[in-house]
Amino acid sequence: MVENFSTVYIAPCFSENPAGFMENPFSIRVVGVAKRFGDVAAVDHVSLDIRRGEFFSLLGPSGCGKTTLLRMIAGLEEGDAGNIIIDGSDVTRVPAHRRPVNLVFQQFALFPHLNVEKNVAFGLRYKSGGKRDSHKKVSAALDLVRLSGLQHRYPDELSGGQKQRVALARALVLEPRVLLLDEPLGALDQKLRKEMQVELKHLQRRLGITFVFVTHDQEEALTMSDRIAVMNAGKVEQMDSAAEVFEHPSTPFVAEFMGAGNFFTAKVREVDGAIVTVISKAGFETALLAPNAPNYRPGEKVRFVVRPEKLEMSLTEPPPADARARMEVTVEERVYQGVATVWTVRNRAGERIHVYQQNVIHGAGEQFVDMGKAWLCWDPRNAILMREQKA
Amino acid sequence: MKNGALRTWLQLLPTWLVLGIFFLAPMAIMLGISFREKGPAGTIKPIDDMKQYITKGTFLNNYRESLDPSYAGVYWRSLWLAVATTALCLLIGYPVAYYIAIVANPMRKNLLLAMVAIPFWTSFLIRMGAWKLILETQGVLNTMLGAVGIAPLDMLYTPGAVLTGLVYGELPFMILPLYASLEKMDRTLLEAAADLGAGATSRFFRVTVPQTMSGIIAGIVLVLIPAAGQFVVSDILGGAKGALVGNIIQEGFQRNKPLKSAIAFELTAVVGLMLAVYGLYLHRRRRKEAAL
Repeated sequence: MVENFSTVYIAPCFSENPAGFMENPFSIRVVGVAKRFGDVAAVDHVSLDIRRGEFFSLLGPSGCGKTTLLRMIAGLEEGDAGNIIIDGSDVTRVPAHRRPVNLVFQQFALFPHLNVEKNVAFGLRYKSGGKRDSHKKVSAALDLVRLSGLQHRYPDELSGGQKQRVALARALVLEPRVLLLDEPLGALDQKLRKEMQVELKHLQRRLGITFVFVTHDQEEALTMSDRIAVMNAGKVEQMDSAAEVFEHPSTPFVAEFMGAGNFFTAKVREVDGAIVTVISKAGFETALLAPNAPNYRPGEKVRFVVRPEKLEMSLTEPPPADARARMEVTVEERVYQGVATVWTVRNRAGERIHVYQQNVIHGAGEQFVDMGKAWLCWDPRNAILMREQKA
Repeated sequence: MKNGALRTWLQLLPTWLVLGIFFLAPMAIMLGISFREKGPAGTIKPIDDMKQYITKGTFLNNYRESLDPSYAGVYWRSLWLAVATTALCLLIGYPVAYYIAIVANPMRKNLLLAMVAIPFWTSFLIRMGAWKLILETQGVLNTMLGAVGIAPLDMLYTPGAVLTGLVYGELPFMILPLYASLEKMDRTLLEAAADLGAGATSRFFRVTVPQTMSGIIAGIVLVLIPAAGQFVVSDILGGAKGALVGNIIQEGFQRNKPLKSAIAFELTAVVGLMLAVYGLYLHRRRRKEAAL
């Protein structure tokens, strides 16, 4: 029954479309879009391309403009500048009810005066041919989100997770080319959230439609997304695959937001091809691999970042034969988390560093004493070079 | 437990006293009078033989008389005027309430609401007098029409004049509950409807109207009940042939208390029926809200 939905109701949507539809690799193109609220630039000339069939996340702290951008794609917010192109046609001036996208609202926005079935069927009458077999379409959509049998319940008789599923079904029944999701898991508790993350990802893979997902939770974005755009103060800081954003943050903001808060101040000593050799403030020298190495000048002040889980801590200095970079630190604090222990240490330059150590064996890390000396070492390839200021 | 029940009763006592003295007792007295016969000069005739009075059906004489065909015209006029008043108030009041609650600049909401309420600062009689000045043959409106070459119209003492007065008087009672329900409506629902493909008209009828149904019903009740019992408006703007059921009850009440009481009770019964429907609706609604 579940499979029926995608084969019977979703598939025709793709086959019936004109040839140009499949040739265009982009589902959504946002071109120089801007929106001000009073003095605040909520979205500051953002451009991004969302590929067909990908799970794309807009990630950032609250107030970064991610929700405003999503609402502009949905047509619920009018921009001050720029264009929004969906499936190759410019919809900048098209009102929300004529756009081929559907939004799942953060607080679900189910109609309280309609039962589940009527909520899901709400949009069908506006779609050509939508009223035909509407009963079957509604139950197929409810099957798809695993919510059969609750057709006659009212929204206030549903749990948060069930409301979420109704909201999803209500959008999916319309077979949108793009599904927009505005922090749809924000109102759910932790356990349900994790389940829904996996379920949403599966759903997206099965239906093959483009998902644009707004969240402030980096872990959620990493779990679900093919690509992520990290936003800050109305601008896109970095747009890349999930792994790339995580492993190679391109700005200090992205690094910090992705949980890589270990910044080391340094000065460039020499640039040789793709290799930049720097002298850290803590006194040691290290060579870093940087794709944009030629941009750096000797003497320039820079920073590099090493993720907490990429650092290894030992009591003694590794032998010189070990090619890894190293620095001496003082242990300040230990936070035991069960799976891992998070250490706070400080180097000679006074820079605070977090070290994440898996508790592989019982009693791991017992050799370290508070305020005692230790050595950190890391593979130089895991250190990411960036400018002091955002380029 | 028993103590708790007693305390609850004691706490309710003041409410019951007020309701009893000012509402239930007068109603009971009026109901009693409606089953009696009128005596000379506004008195009430004593009952000689209670058994006969009841078995012969004498106690229903007033109700029988009140349903005399000669009253039919007045009842009919009262009914359609009350219904028309309610419908017009809804048609005029909804856009006004919608404008104040949703369209208008939030800074000006209070000013606009005050403008709705300001007429209450003047006596209703004076305001009706003003309408008379506007509508009469040599009145304000006809003078203005004359200035553009239109012959004076007979507007005063017509059902139209009464309807105008009723709508004017009851309109605020429609606007205020509508405003309250529009104000608290969740606007995200409108966005959701738009996102699902509903245009402006569709959004209005499928989301806004159902979401403000409690305000619509409150407004209908608040307008229909007073409009059904009005006698001041019809007295001033309706003339001799414009009497409503309210006028029948009020005129000569002193001379024939039993008959007028019976008519008053019939009106109350009709109004009560409408309230019962309203109560049923609210009950169902509240039960749904309680499940939240």
